[in-house]
Amino acid sequence: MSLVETRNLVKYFSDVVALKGINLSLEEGKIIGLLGPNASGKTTLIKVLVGLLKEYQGEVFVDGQDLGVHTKEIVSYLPDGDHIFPRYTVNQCIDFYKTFFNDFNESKAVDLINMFSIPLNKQIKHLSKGTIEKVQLVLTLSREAKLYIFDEPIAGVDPATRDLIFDLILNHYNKGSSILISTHLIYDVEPILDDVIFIKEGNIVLHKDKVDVVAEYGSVEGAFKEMFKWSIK
Amino acid sequence: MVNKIIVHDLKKYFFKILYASLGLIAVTIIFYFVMKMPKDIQRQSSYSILASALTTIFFGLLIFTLIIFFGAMYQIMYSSLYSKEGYITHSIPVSTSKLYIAKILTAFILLLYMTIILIIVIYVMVNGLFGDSFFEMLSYFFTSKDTIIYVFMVLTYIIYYLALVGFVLVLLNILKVKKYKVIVVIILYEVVTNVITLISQLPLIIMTSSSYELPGNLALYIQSGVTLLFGLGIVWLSCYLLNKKLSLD
Repeated sequence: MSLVETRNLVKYFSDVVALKGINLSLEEGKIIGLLGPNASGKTTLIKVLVGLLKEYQGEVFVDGQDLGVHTKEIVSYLPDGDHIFPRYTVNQCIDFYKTFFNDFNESKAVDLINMFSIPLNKQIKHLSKGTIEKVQLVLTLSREAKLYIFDEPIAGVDPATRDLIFDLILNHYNKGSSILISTHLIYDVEPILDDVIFIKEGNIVLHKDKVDVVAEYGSVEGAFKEMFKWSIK
Repeated sequence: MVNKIIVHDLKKYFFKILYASLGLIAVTIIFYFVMKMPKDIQRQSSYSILASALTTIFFGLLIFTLIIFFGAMYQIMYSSLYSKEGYITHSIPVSTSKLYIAKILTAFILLLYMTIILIIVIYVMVNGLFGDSFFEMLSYFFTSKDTIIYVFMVLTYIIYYLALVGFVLVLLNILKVKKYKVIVVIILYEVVTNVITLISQLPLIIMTSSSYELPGNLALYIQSGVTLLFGLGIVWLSCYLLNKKLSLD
């Protein structure tokens, strides 16, 4: 059984088609890269999967079930940008996750927050952008979820922080679960992927094992450039 | 989970409102005793200074309490559901309907509390200013047997207007309004409120226009009942629309 399955998923924004009949099947236990340029439909697809966009055509199943309470229980989602409550302290954010997510591992969250030397009693709005991203990532990873969805977790952070974020993800996600990670920064994400999905203008144009992609194109980045007709000057 | 959401939101907002409102009541009571001082003291210049200072403090605290209250209502009914924070709120493992109902119930509790506080403040102030004469005048219009129906009316109208505000905010989300949100909310609220209020009051209008007179407060009970039903209907419609068309951009 696929962990995530979409059948002919279509999403309109007014008269613009953001997703054009996506058929997708994601296996359990894999790290999958959802790769595509800006405005290709990555975030829209993720928002549908996590239930933030309810109006769509087609069918979506997570863990064999329609989107709903069960799917929220097993999906840990990191949105693109700062979405954590700005007036909360870090401690209150931890308390919020502890209250509402049964799979939240509080001690893991506190350990990771301390590892980054983030003050627990400081309000989110007083933290730097990079620190807020770390807090959000820690909270997302501290859930013992079946599926982690990261939407552009490395956009807008410096290369050193990117490495740190990937280290954090690889070392602290619930082993045996799946990760769907969306980004347009192919080079950075390539080493950690098992599967690769390319999305272009609302269509899935490639969905393969990374090994096969590397065998065919030399690298994921090479495949990406080929698919999207990019060239490096 | 609905309980957890309500308790969480109340813990977050209620105490701020509680402290502000207790301060307001304390100042109101002090004001009451100052207004009740003997006439010879009231003629002294120091009394007018004291009264002016208390008036300033009273209105300052009143405005402060209302700002905290409306800030909390904005957070509960809009920010936590439809702004950036909604991304986290909607990932809580609870159905969208239950999440929405939890928010409405939290807002109901806070609005009910604030209504009680304002009634107490107004009661004490009016009593201080006019003494018993004001309430004697009121007793010509309302008797103690009317208390139940007026409490019922206050409760139903709180639910009704919260439902309307919630519905307008749902419309704001599903219509994907990006600019001039405040103006759009006001226009939508006025239109929706007037249309629905007119429809919900039709039974009463028909009844009162007929020659048959309803006994006691029955007409008011029917009016409140219909209002309550419409309020609950609007909540249901809001839940339905959110389930089908929620869109967080």
